[in-house]
Amino acid sequence: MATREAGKKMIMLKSPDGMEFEVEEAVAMESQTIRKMIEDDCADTAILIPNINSKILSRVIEYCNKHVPTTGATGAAASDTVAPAALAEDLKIWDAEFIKVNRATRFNLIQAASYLNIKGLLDLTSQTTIDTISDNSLEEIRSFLSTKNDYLPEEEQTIRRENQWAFQ
Amino acid sequence: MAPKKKRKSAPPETVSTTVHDLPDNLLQHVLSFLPAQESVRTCVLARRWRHLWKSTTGLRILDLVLDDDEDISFQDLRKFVEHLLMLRERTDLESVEMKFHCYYEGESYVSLWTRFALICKVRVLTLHILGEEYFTLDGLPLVSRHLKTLHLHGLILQKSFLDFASCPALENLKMGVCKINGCKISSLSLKHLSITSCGCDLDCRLNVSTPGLVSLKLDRFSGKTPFLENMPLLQTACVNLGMGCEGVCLSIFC
Repeated sequence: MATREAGKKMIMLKSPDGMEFEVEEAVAMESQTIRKMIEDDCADTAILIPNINSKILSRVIEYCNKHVPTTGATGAAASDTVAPAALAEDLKIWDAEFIKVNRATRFNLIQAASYLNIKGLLDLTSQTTIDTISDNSLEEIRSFLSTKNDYLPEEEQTIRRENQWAFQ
Repeated sequence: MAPKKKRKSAPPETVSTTVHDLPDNLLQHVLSFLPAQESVRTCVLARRWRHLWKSTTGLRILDLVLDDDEDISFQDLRKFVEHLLMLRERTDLESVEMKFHCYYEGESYVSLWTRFALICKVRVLTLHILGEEYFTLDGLPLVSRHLKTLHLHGLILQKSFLDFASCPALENLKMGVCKINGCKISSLSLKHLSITSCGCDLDCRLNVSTPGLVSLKLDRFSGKTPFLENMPLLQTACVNLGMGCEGVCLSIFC
């Protein structure tokens, strides 16, 4: 239900496990998916966010709260503005703390960021995943990703030959 | 902002999510953050990964480094990129980053790869040449309806390259350590412009013609002080011309 609180328009977000989160419209609109719903007038009542449980949704809202632009609320897309250096640095430090989560939560956040279309969060979670696996051996990467090598040895050899240009 | 509990019952336990739960398009996005060489090598992780590298949403083409930290020559990089570009799927690219040492032999290739990126509708393009030497781009103007962000470093930029009339979506332009060999930077769409440690060797004064600009950073410029044309929407500007700047006239910031 869209209500007004201290002059700010509020939006209700609902997770599938029955929790409701009342957030400022500007915060919710950090998600391009929700922005589109609001702009298309599909957000009169509470918006159900499927597949994202309350634990993850509350983290996502925490992220959006931090990243919503505090000045120049003109309604323009905010993610592209060049923030002053100090503010950008502050956000970077905050992001680094925010993303100190276990693997499962991080993958959940990737899914949520993708569904809600929050580019900054998707890039942060992707980059953190890559930082963890980059420069590791294939065995280490498999272990980190809990991926089992299901190639037959001769198959793997063929694929290595096929892409030899990348293994030199 | 605290969540309101509608039901008393506790939310169900989070099912542990692993990489297997992510759809291919998300893994392809994640892979875009890896240097391209490492991204391709994920093909041997398991069957599911065999073709993922072919449709990543971004490419990071970086200098190849051997175990003993010795750089491989540009020819090796060229061979790798040729394979990469020819063997990947023809899917759109969100971002392309090229960051490597490069000598004169690479000039035509970098221009070619840039055009490939533009054909793939790249939105964020980074050309970053490492090392002491400046690297000359071929001077052809960029043509793209999709390019939104352009980062340039270590380049010599020619006159026609600096006319962004054929990039109507370009909003962010960042130039660092570039020689700007033209008399005019122009773009109607540009919102954010950053020019750091750049210079102009020419006799003419650089005109910055960007009427839609919202933020401007001009730091340490060598050569004649650039002339900033009318920017009625400008909200923030940080201008530090530095010692190498000639003919300072601050009255242009009225």
